[in-house]
Amino acid sequence: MDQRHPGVVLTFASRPAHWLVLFAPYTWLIIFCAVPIALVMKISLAEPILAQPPFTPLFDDSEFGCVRLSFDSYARLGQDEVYISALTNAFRVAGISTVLCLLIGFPMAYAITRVTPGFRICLLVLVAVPFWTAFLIRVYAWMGLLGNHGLINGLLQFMGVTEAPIVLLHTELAVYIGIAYVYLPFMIFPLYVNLSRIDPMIVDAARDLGANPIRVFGSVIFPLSLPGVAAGCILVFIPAVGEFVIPTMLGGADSLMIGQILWNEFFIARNWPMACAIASFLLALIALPVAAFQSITTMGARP
Amino acid sequence: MDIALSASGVKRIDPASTVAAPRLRVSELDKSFGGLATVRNVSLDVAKGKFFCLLGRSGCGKTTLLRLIARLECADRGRVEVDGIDITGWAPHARPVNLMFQSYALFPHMTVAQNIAFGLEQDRLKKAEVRQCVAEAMDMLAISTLGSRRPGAISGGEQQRVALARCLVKRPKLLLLDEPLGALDPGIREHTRQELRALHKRLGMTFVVVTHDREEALSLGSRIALMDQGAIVQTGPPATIFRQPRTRRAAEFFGAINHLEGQIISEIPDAIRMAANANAEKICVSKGQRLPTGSRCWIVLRPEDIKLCRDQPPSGNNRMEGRVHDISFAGTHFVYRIRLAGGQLFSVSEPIQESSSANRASPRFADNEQVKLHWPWTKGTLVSS
Repeated sequence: MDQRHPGVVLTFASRPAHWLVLFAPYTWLIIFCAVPIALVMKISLAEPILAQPPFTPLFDDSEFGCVRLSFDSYARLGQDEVYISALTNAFRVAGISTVLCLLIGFPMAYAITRVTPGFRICLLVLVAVPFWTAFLIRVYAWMGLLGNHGLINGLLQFMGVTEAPIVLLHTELAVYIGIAYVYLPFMIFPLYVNLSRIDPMIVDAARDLGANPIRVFGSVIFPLSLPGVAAGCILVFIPAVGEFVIPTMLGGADSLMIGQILWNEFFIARNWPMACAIASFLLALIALPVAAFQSITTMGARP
Repeated sequence: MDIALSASGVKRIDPASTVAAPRLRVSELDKSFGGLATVRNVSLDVAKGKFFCLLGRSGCGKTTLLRLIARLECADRGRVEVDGIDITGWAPHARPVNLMFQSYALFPHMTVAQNIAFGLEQDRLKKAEVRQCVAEAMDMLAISTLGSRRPGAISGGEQQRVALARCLVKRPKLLLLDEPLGALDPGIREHTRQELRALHKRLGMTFVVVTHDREEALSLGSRIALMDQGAIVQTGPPATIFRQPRTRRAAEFFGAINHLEGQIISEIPDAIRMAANANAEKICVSKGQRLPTGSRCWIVLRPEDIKLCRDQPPSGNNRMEGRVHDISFAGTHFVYRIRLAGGQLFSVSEPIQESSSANRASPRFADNEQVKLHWPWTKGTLVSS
């Protein structure tokens, strides 16, 4: 700050416009983020009943000031095998899909940074083009591709690689493919932004100092791209953990993901407190990788 | 051509050559970017242990030439040899050459010590050896205390030293420096220049330095190559290149910005007589290129070589007439721009006469005043193009 005019800061802070600027995002965050989360948490502490709405009220009208909290839903979450396996399934599938996205997305993002600026824009648009088609239709398309009589099996049999169709649809592999396909742009864009900011002179310096291409990548390009890798992984991993459509359409019935269980609790079992408990628990679990991401990015930003 | 004195027993590869191979030989190097020729038919030899300066305006292709030698760019045509061995096809990491970048290009995610150690680690040296070399290099450049800092947390001058140490520690056969002083504050540039000279002397390494600063090139280089529009215009020791430019552009680069076109009439003892197109009187000049009678030529002159007067100039000097076009103050001198009879403008600088009475300095001549220009035969240089 300008030391000769300390008053400049003071007047800015005391200006009403300053608070107006802060007011808008905070209001938005409170209404659309804090309040819904509080509601979900509130419902998770109730008990399911056959009524409208299908959960017990938190504050009893008959006795003033009496709060009835039930931790049954959370207790079930820790005891019931279904939830635990669904959670581990979700984390495994999301984790593997994220790694797949990274393995496919990194070379793509890197390649995009290495072409001429005009061609670069073309490639970036191509990465974004699938967003112009509805998500559901794209997943349906994969059903057509992966099915026993689908395009892939047809091609394999036509070429004589296999005689009978390979079961691809309704397997965990199909879920990996689906998630990796849908979320790939979320990996490519942050990686592209990060990689395009790496000074090409630094890469040249590494080459000049005797590093072969593998070492240039391992000791310079990859470490410098870590903030982008972290951003991409978080953007893929978080929605993938709670993914419901892709595992339902492409996955098998044997390995349910937590998103599917949550949907079932809400719409089939009509156990809202249980569904809300799952949602709250998942939110807490996901906050951990976000915190890790924060620490990685601040580490990268430090000189 | 410089000769590599084979004190170290430089291997002779080329049987046709009668001298030992130079440390660096670049032959007929061409490079164009998108149809634009950046480096054009460049050939040069750098002898072992020289401090070789590539001098030229920005955009003249000197940095590209360095990058071609380090093979960070691929040449369209030509050869690069180090100690007589053709390394044209060698990958950058395999070359016994290191480049110090103008922007330093330090690795931001590594500490200073890790930056310096990087090159040695690539050579698969033992850990203890690396540590010792790094410590020595940091000691030599007086940056020992910075070892654990990140490049972002040290000053520009310190970064420059780290970049230099990072290259030096590899003991390359040839160290290429791209504007090594370019990014420094003027205050420490002069000091660092002296240090660079001392370092070169101490290590006996071969340096190729790119610079656009003519004073830097003159004071640092044991040899200078002047580059213009991708080609090497002239190569020689600093004194020669300064005193005997071969072209008007080369002369202009070293401050001889006035030129007079004409034709050679005759050779007289110790000088050449020429008829200047813009001047009735014949002009005599005692140095420059030897040119046949009748050929087109130019005389190049520095602003400080020309004297101004109102009355009759000393006899024997070359004489011209003109009118003061404008006057500018430049601290220690006034710069007069004189319009000659033919319409051409000449710059003449005249030291300020210290008047004892006041701090005020005023020019000797007024705007639009008719003046006579004169200079002795020994000033000015004859060039052919």
